[in-house]
Amino acid sequence: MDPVNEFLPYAASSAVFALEPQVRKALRGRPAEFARAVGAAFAWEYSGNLTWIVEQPDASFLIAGGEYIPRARPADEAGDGEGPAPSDAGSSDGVAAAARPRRYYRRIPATLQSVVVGYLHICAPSRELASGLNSMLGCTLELVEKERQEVALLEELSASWESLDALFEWTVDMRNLPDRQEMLNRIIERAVAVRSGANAILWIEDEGMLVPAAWVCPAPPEPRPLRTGVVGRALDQKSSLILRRAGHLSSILDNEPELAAAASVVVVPISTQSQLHGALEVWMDDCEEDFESPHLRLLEALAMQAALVVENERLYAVQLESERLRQEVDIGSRIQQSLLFSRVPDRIEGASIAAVTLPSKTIDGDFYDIVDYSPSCFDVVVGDVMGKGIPAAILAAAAKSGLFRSLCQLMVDTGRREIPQADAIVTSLNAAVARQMISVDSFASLSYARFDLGQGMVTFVDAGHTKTFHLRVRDQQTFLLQGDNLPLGILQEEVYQQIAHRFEPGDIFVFYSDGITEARNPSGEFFGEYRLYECVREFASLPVEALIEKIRSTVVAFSQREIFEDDLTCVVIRIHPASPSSAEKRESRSFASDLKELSRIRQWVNDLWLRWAPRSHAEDALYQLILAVNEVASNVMRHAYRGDASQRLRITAWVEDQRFCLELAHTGIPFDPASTTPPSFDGTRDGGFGIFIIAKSVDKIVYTRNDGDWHTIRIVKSFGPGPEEASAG
Amino acid sequence: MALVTTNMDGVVVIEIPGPSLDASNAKDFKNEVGPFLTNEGKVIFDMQHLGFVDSSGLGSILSCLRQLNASGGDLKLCGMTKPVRALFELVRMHRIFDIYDTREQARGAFTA
Repeated sequence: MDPVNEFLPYAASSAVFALEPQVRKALRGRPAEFARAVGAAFAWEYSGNLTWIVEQPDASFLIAGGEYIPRARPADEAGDGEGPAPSDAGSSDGVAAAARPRRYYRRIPATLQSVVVGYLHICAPSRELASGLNSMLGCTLELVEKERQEVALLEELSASWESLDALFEWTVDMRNLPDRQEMLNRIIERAVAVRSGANAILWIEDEGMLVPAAWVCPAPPEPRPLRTGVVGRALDQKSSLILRRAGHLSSILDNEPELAAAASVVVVPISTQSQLHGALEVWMDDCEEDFESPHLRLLEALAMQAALVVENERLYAVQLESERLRQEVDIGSRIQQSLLFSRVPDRIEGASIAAVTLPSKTIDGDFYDIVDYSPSCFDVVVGDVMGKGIPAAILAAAAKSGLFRSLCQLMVDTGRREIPQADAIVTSLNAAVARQMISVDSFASLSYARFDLGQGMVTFVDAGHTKTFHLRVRDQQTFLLQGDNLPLGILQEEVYQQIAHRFEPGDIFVFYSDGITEARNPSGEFFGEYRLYECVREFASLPVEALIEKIRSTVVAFSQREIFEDDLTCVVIRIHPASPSSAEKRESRSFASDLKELSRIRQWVNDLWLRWAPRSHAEDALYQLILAVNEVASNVMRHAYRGDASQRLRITAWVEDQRFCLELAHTGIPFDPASTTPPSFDGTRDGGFGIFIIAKSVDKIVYTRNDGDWHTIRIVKSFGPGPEEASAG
Repeated sequence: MALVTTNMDGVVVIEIPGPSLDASNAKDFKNEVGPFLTNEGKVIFDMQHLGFVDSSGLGSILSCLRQLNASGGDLKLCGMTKPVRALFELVRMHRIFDIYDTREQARGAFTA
């Protein structure tokens, strides 16, 4: 027989604990025939739990509760069947034996305030006696219940006051303690002070084990499995448990040696609403009186204190963890910014390139690179390593460094100063990183594209990446570039295949990570490829920086959030248009928003002018144009970008109707020329000349303030003598 | 920015280094030239190395003039290249500054 169950007749919940002395008192007052009529024992099935009423050898009664299910349910046995002998163990052995010859058994509904609360199982010498017994017991129960309620209420009230008092005192006390162990020590001191001579252990749950965190008892306790014995039972029930006459129970205490000599035991679970943290176990070895309700109240209050201590510590640990995670994200995004994304090279002629990345809250393995071999030949690489966090970022960095190593190796191997083919680069890269990736169960998708502007040809290796979008501007036809190679890191000896694809001047290519197409709106819908392509089509005429900004803002507007589950990476390339009149007279270049770039901008404009100007151009007109573009760029850097040198501005220059046109595009604060004050010409102020200089130096100036974040300033200067030139003579 | 200075009988000639004085170095220039702008100081800026001056550069030269004038001193300019001269004329600063072709002419103007 299960020792715990064997013991159960003596275990009681705290509620029954309060009931018991009252019942005992009430039943003791009945005539002696009552006890004899009952004979040995009967069971009362109370709301699904069995509560046993057992006659003691001293003719007093004991009520205890538990979940004992009799081996043979009395209800199954009709009429004069063999009655259960629930108390055929322990102290009531003798009485049970006395009951056996009577063999008369009845099961009668027990009512309390006209509600059936259970069934009486009665072993009695006659049917009449059993019925009489039932009504007698019914009256008794009602009486007892009322009395119990009254007493419980009173006890509750005074106990509440006491615990409230104690709680206040302890809380004040605890506030001054430095750490968790001190606090738990203080709690255990308080627990044993509840009754003199008490022992106590404060158990804290740790990975499925109960570990003693503080104790006052003769032998230091050992960690033990969570659901063991009496303590385990209280944890299962999630309620306090009082145990008495533990001296009888040595058979079940193999796992709880501290209770070997315990006469009375209280176990109070330590828990918060969300979590079970452990248990407070308090016991007395020698005592006449059991733990009473007020003691229990105080111990419950202490357990609550312990729960607060443990929960606070847990929350603190959670906070530390989230702090650590935040740092990881921070480190990850720095890895990303410095290793995984590259500057867009500005010496590529014949194509404009812009890239954007929106790092997610968890950092992905997105990466891209643009390698320029000559002004008309460059590679675009966009990749995505499976996984998240720093591991993915590091793998991505490894993939990128592997890429450059493969590139160098191939160049050395061929022995010629020839750029290796895209398929050879990707095959070599895969061979280099596959082992690493396979060993950590990861892989990477990749798009590798070699643009040859001279040939109008892109050579393309797709390693399981998102389809690359190509918009042929001439007839608005779209192409989706996709190969059927495996992603990197699946098979080390995989040979990658490239495909060749033609493009025309003015065409647009969009490379992107699945973070864009898989961005979701609040109802869970994907952004998808179609929306991306529509967006590109709609804003195809904008400068690439503005186009990519439109893509970004469209995804943000769709998903209604700024922070995404995945990184969003997008690289947009526009092949410069080549209409015969402007083919060789249009150029675009991106500059850092750094005042040190001003001299480069002046030099670039100077060179373009000298290249494009007719023979009859005026030198002063050139000075004035340079002066004007310098002032515009300097204003953008200092005011629109407020001196933030990490920003970029793009300048496009072209010739139109024998006039030199320059357009500066920026994403900073738009400029309002009306807001400036005119300069003073008497030398009393240092500043304020910029706008005046621009206006005086060029034929035309147009400020365009766009809907999005992209703003432009266009200046036009004719190659002939300027307007100021004519009047200044 | 290192300034080359020459003392011509109590008049300090400062060569502004080239090739340009613009928003990227105007502040540096102001800091470097500050110690020479003494009370009642007589200063000449030799601008022969400057191929380009923008509004910020102009502003820094203008502030030197105001500082010297306020303490009873004076500033004269010489050696202007064509593009720089064009700027000064564009914003009419040729009326505010005394501008000479050579430093000797500028030096002579102080004693006159």
